Amino acid sequence: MLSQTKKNQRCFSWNFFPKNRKGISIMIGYILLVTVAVVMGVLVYNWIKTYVPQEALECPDTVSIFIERAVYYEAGSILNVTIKNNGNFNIAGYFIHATNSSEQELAMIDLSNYTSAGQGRGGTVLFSMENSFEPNGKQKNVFNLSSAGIGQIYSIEITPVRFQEEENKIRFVSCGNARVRENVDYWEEGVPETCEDGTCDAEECDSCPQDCSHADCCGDGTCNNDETCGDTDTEPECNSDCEACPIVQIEYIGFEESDEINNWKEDPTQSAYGEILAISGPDECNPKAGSHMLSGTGDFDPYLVRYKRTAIDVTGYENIKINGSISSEDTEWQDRIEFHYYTGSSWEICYQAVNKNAYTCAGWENFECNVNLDSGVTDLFIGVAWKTSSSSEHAFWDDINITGTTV
Amino acid sequence: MLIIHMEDKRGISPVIATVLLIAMVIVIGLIIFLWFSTFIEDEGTKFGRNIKLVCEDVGFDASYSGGKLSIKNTGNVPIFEMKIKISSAGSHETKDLKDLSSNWPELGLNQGKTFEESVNIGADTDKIILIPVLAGSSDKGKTTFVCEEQYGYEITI
Repeated sequence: MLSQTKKNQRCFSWNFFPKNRKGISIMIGYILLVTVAVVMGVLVYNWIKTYVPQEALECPDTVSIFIERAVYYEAGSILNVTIKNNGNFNIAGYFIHATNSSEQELAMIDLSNYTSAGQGRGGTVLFSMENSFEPNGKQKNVFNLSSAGIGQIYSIEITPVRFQEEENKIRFVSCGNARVRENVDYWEEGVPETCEDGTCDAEECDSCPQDCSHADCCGDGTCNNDETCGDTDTEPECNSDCEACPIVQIEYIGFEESDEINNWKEDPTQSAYGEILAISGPDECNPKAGSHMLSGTGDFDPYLVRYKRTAIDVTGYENIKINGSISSEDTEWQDRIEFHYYTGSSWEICYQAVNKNAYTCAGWENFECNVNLDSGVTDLFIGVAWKTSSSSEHAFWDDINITGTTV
Repeated sequence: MLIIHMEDKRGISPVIATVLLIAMVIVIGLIIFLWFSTFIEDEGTKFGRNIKLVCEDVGFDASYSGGKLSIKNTGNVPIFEMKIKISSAGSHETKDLKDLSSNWPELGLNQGKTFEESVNIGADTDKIILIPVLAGSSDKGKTTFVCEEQYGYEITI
């Protein structure tokens, strides 16, 4: 009969301390050999790796800048440099070196310390600590050389620089392959464009807004110097320069919610009798959008009935526009379907559909109108109005959209 | 005839034999490696690469006019020092630029930096070759490496 110990040995296939230790020495030998081989392999790999050629640290091929304008003003010893990023990559700044005679072969005079973007930046004009100068962007830098004692600048050489990630490290890279050189225009007379001199010189609405007032810049054709579009009462407003105001939706009424009908009430100042306004699904006409529309009917010719909606708050908006769609069914030339809004003192017709001769559905007509509210009015009331000569005739409105621009 | 009677036939255990063999192999390997390594120059590394290879990436412009030597680092490798090989009348000598000019930057010429200084290279000099010297690191610590002449900048006087 087997003892308990032998039973256990049979039960477990692996025993850490077997009594018969033959074969373990071979295992140790293999482990040692493999370990030594691995360690030596790692050492040799690390050594050989340093001999593997790698790509040099350089900028992408399509990094490019263009010196659009370089003017040296003798009066004041000011150098104005305007560069354009005409490449495909953002850049962070540039090195700038100058020559002060035509005989100098290399541009050796470092100008970076004479402009605000280059002071304390280690010889680099840096726009920011990231690649912030985007393609097609322009940048103007003013170099005040009055204390440099350099004399007249003859030419400048600019080398763009970038921050690039190389082997998980952010490296500062000089784009020597994108280096450009340009002769400098010389102005003996004239007022140099100096930023922060209190004078709004040409192009300073963009490059030096602190020198320029709203009056200086509005009308220059560029939406700059904190100008905005919209409210003419607001100081930085300049609609002539800032036409592309972002248009936002103030309210959209698609009549898809059945309780929207509760917002529409008969206008007692102009009403007839027997009029009915309802939200309906596809019936005589299909809705313009969605599955429901606003529908009016009633026999009250020659009277025009109007329903007005509860107020829409337009506080903070300007350039308000209404657009929507109108249709009808079984209407004749004498019938009218209209869309109104309230200025604060009177109702204005936003759109009027006449001669809606239709035996069946007349088809949707789109309309759009500008809203001119009285001064100080922030509640916009809209209304639908119609007159039809028979109770079997219908007027429809759908897809009402009120937009504006923020002040 | 030599007859050895081995009453006790137990020898060295296989484990000890294997360990001894491995130890001997390692020791001999190390000896050979250390011996061979004396034949291989340890130039050091820069940017994780053998510094010899980094010489290919060095970029600089230079000119010599009116006794004034101008050097501009246009690449992305800092130039720690500069050797100047002065050739004249069939002979040449190589000097450290630091010895000829006291204004060479202490930490070398970084990206975009320039050096301009009057340097006396002799009246009968035909040409000069500026050979960059790079700083790197090796097992012995910080090291410098003189690039090969092919990476130099030749100026004909």
